[in-house]
Amino acid sequence: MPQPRRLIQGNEAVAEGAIAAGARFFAGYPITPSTEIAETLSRRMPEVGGSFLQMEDEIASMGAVIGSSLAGVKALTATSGPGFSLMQELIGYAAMAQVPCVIVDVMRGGPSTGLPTDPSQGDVMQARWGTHGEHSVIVVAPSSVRECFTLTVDAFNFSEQYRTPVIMLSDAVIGHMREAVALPLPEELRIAERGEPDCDPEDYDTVVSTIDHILPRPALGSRFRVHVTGLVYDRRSGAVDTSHPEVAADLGMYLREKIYHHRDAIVRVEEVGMEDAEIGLFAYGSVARSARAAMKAARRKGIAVGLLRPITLWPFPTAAVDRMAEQVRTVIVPEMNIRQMAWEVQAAVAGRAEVVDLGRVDGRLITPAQIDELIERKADRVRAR
Amino acid sequence: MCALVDETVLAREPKDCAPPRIKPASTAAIRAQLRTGRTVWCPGCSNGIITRAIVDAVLGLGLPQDKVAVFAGIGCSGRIGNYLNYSTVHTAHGRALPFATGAKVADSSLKVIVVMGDGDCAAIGGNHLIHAARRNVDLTAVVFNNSIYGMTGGQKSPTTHMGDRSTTSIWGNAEPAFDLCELARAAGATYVARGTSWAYRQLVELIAGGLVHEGFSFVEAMAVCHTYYGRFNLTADPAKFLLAQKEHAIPADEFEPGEPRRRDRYPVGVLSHVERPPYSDVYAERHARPPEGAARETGGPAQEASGVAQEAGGSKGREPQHGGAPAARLEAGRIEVRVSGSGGQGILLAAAVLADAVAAMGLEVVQTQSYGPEARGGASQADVIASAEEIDYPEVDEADVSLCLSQAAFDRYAAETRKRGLILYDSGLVQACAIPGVRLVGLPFTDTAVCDLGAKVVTNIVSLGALSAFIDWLPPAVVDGAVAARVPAKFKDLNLRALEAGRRLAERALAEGAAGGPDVAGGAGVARER
Repeated sequence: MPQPRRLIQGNEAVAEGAIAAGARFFAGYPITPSTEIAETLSRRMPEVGGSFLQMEDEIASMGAVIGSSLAGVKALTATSGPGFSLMQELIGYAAMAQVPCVIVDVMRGGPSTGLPTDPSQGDVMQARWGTHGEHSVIVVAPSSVRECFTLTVDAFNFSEQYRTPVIMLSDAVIGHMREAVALPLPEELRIAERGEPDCDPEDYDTVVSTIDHILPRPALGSRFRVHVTGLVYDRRSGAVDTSHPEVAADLGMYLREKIYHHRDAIVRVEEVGMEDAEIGLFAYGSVARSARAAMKAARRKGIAVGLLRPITLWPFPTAAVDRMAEQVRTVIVPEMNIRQMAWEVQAAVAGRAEVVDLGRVDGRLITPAQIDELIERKADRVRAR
Repeated sequence: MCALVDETVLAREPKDCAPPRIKPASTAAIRAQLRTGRTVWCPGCSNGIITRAIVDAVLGLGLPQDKVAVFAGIGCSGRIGNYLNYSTVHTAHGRALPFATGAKVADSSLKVIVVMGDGDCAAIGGNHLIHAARRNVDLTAVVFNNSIYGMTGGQKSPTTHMGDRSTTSIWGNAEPAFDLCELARAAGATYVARGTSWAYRQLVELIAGGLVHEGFSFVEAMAVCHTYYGRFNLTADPAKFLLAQKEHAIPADEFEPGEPRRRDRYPVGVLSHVERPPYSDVYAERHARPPEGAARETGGPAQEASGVAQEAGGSKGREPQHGGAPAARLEAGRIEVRVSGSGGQGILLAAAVLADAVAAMGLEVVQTQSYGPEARGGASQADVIASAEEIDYPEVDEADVSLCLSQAAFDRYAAETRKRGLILYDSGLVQACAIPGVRLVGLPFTDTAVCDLGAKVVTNIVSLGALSAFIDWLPPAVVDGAVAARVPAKFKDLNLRALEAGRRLAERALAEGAAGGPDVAGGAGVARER
């Protein structure tokens, strides 16, 4: 029997998705527009035998999340821009020490305290490059309440499988929106469980993860007496080694490749109407909803518009943009920031099509009419040719 | 004095103030607890002494090696994790306490030791220290206090004394030093002790006392940095530095109450020990019973739609139960409804109920809201979009029907109503002005709630009743079901009567409209394309 449809908020769906994914620990600090995730999990965690901690700040929240994950308990935190900035320090730690965890950033206008409660997509590059140093990251961006649930589950699976922090970039529109959805049943979900390395604790130091076989992280207090560090370490022994360039190079390349090598398995996009499109829209998160409405309106007017919606923002969906660049004359990138993803799209399109950005930073969702107007202008030019 | 307010929980006397007696282990036994004997520490540094004291305490108490987890910060002391053969985490600068808090709360079977330097503990991690002490998670913090930043080459720290020299205070420090034990005690640490590198046996027992204590224990180990602190201020000879510690350390019971602590005179021993249930016990006890009070009503998971609503909508699908605009008209596009008022009027609840009812009809629905920074007052709005198709754009730019429950809301939102749309407003609260092409209907929602129902609080539900009467494809039974599912059981009847009263207001207005009054038949019956 399917789940009944019920009206549920995006932030609540994230919380329920986390529980379904097996998260049993949340630490956070209240901040609009993410607070409902903390509120919901403060009630739900005790019900499922998990723990909820409200910490003194977002740095501490991220630290506690890493601590929990190291102890073997799947963990997440949720925040918005100002808190996300504070978390960058320890997101880097999680990337370096390869600690699975999920960070939900419900984006609002910035910089600084910015535009509380109003949406933005200004953290796209911060999610990719916010912490210092070379590192890899997986970022997912939900566009509906149902996706808030399913992508939270996916985020946990990615984090366990690739032993890495995974960031969910939601925004104030998606987080606060309620939709009537039937959430998936537990048996419909694939959950990546945390295992133990399949070797003897004695041999642990000699067994090395490869790009295709990433060993699970043993829990603190398990038979594996691990040392975890944010310093550069020898991947073979796990021991700190900051004096051999080749050791640093090996770790640095591995941290990148363990994700980039698998990007075909990680990257997820939705393509609508791309087969015959002359104009392509590249839009994610809440703005993708406006883009879809604009695409439908344009098609009713006989303009061949397609939509490419990245569901994972990082790694960047280069292959999908390649396909689009071969197909269309113009790519329009509407986003609630100024050219953050448009630059990336332009780099991937590499001159094969015109790339036009449509940015907005006033805390208002880009409207279908705004996109439509641009489509009309570009369509006229296409016709004129 | 402790800075915690809820002092009643501190009332219990400690079971035993004396730290356990520990017989130091052999060097061979100590070595077995180490990964390596080679360290980055300078010859003569006391970090090795304090490290050994931690191991001796663990061995003396017979703690299982596999269950000991050590979290360290950054700096000279932070390197300890490389050397101890326990589960070890070399965290980030100042963050050892949050990491340790997460691990201990996630897995209570771990015996967690937190090693910090004075920079970790009192500078970058000072906030974490006071909250760890207040929270009272069962952790044992050991601070290696050498009053200087050693690893970066001898800069001043928050425990560098007034007048002390460092590479960033060559004229003498212009800031006073923190007394870390006083800080921890004031913040609520339930076991506070200070020892020195000189008095090894005492230090072992003070750490062991922290490990057996349930709750947040804090041990300050006075460390020797002859390379920087000593060379700049005292002596570059580590042995002389240790001997100086012997002179400076005064047993706590010989230290006069209120006597100022100085660089060369400070109390050692157990300085404070109170019994307060650790965080995990309080958390478990609190969550063993259902929550009480108003806070449980705010936010939280969405309520399941009621059985009534599910039945009415679920089984009948999109078939309208009620005359007027058939659902087929919806399929041409979408209907947008805005409920607005001031914070505290329950507009979000009204919108949520309406959205539940739309969902129960088997339609697609999106409900959003926006509010100003004021929790009460101001103008706030909640929108409901209904459609037979997938709803893409989730915002309302121009409402088909707009309900205004305050003047501020009318002034702000009335203009965002489409041509031939409808505005319903509270005639007792709103001075409406004409808007070209928009029908205005004022009804006494508040008066009805106060005079007829004796409860101003249901004004939102009265207005919802009226609003729903203008949405002619929405059967009353579905709205009733949605209200019943959202409100507490004891207020169900009152809310259902409020709905009914609202409907009667609307029907009267509709009848007058039909009889030649203002034409109010427009509104949500008309869908439009988007």
